[in-house]
Order: sequence, then structure tokens, then C-alpha cells
Amino acid sequence: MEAALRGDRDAFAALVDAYKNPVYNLCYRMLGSPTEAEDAAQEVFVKVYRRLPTYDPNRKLASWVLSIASHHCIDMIRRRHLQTTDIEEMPEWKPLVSEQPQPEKQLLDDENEARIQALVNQLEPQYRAPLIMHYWNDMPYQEICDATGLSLSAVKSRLHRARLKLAELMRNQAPDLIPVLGAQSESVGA
Amino acid sequence: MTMKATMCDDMPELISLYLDGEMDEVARSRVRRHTAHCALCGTLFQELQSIDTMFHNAPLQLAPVGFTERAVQAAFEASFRENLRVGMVTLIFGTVTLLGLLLWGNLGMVTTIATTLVSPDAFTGMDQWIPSFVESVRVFWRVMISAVVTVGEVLAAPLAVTLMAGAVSAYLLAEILKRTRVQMTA
Repeated sequence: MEAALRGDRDAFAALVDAYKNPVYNLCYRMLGSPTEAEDAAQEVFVKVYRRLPTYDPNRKLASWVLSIASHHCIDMIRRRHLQTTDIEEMPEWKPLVSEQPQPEKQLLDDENEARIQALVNQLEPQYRAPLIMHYWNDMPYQEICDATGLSLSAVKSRLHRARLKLAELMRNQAPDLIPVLGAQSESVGA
Repeated sequence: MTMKATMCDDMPELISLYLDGEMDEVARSRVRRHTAHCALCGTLFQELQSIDTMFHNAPLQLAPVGFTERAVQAAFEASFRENLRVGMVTLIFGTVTLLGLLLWGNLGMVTTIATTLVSPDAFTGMDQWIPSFVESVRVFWRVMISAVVTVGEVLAAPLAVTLMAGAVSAYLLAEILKRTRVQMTA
């Protein structure tokens, strides 16, 4: 960290290497597009490098980096007017078509992954960040508070609302993703 | 009846806390008991549990190959541009400050030099200067050098102080601008 602060390129590269996947994943889950996610993740590390002198060593480095990433993504969403939850404006879900022959399970996993992301895209940005940090970064409530600047009750509330919203979206758009709903819709169909 | 309704009202939030492991065992068993007997809450519990499992199992998206090199390059280039901007601001501000202080403090000297150059004596024998170009250049340089020497002798100390003050204030201003910018974008 000290070496990176002194402008040591290798030390900063090691820092980027350590956090590139959590940051890229957060950007991808927040923005919903691999291209935008890569640009955003790169910009996040530019900001990280610039703000190294202001880093408080008492703070967990992962929380600090992800805090910069989540704020950056929320700013991007605001700037690009992607803050829409209107289902009609969402791109229609299409099954992934692979040119390479893939095992059936892998293809199914990829399809489900794309559908999960399509649902995440429909959440309000302020609900997305805590959800992503909770599920993909395994961050406890307190660390999410630190990274998002939210109070503990706000984090709990946003996670809860995000789950309820996801349940509602799945009921309407992807009941087969939830086994209990899939069984219900099958029995109704029968 | 009222108690059950209240229990059902609170249940969605309690289920979330249950799934996140933010409950003691007594509260957990209460949630389990209620969801086992209440069809509505039971279904919600299963839905939220399925979502929880699905999201826990969703894979982490990995950064593309070569990302580290690109990100480091971008960070160092951005930092270089930032430093260049700060350097330019420092240079421009320092120069303007220096010139301003010099002119303000030494307006009399500038006036003297200008007056000397345009005084009737300076142009006496102008008709002789034209055929003798070397002589005219020599006169011009003599005036210039004497002016510089005078300025140097008279202003050596104030000049040094002004230069240092200009440079220090420019550096401080540039740092303040830089820090303000970082805080604004934070």
C-alpha cells in the first residue's frame, strides 16, 4: 500500500489484481453490460489511484475500493439515465445462443445467469449495491454500511426490499427460476 | 386474530433477517413455526429462501484478460495528466504573480527606462545612427544592459523574495485546487 502510494507501478498493479474481480463484478451487476462494466472498473481504479493519499488505514481496503466502485456506478447510472424500472423499456430476454457446442447444464446455467442479471437490472440502483455486496462479495451488514455510507437499518431495509422486489419480478417474469413458483405455475397450467 | 395479523405483517422483514443469519435461535424457531403453519408466510419464506440460494450460487463475473495492465496504464496516464495540469496552473499563476508584483512595485523603474529610450538625447544624431547600424545596436544594448544591471542591483533582494513568494503561493493554490477536486469527486 505504501509502495503504491509512492507511485510504485508494480505495487499498484498488485492492488488492482487483488480487487479487479470484485470491482468488475460489482460494475457488471450494477450496470448490466460487460463493456460498460470494464470501462467503469477501469475508471474506478483511476479514482482509487488518485485517492490513495486520502485512504484511511483504519478502514478495510476492500470496503474502501468497493465504496468508490458503487458510488461510481450509481453516478454512471444517473448520468446515463438508466434509472428506469419500466418493464416495457427493458430488453426482451432471449436465450443465449452459443456457437460452440456446450454441455446442456452449462448452457442452462448461462441462461439462468442472464435472466438473474436481467432481474437485477430492474432494481433501483440504491437497492442493487447492497444486494451485490451481500451476495457476491459476502460482506456483512457492517461492511456494507461502511462501503455505501448507509446506516445499519437502511442496509437491512434495502436488502429486504430488494428481495421482495426480486420475488415480485420473478413471480411475473420468471416463475420457473423459483422452484416453488415453478411448481405452482405448472400445476395451474395442468 | 390481531396477533396473527401482526405476526404476518412483520414476517417478511423477519424472514430477511432469518436468511441473513441476523437472529438468535429463539427468534429463528419462532419464524420457522409461523411459516410452517401460515400458508401465505410459508410461501413467501420459500420464495425468499430460493432467491437467497440462487443469488448465493450465482457466479462472480471475472474481469477480462489483460484488465490489470489496462487499468494500471489508465491510472498512471490520468495521474500524469493531472500533474501536468497542476504544473501548468502553478507555472501560469506563478508567472502572473511575479510579473504583477514586479510591475506594481517597480512601475517607476519601468517608466525611467522607457523615458530614457524615448528621450530626445537618445535620438540625437539619429541621422548618424542610420549609416552606423553597429553604433546604434551598441547604444541600444548599452541602455538595456545598464537597465538590467540597475534593476538587478536595486531589486535583487525583492526579486528573490517575490519569486519565492510567487512560487510558494502558486504551489499552495495548486495543492488546494487538487485536494478540492479530489474531495468533490469523492
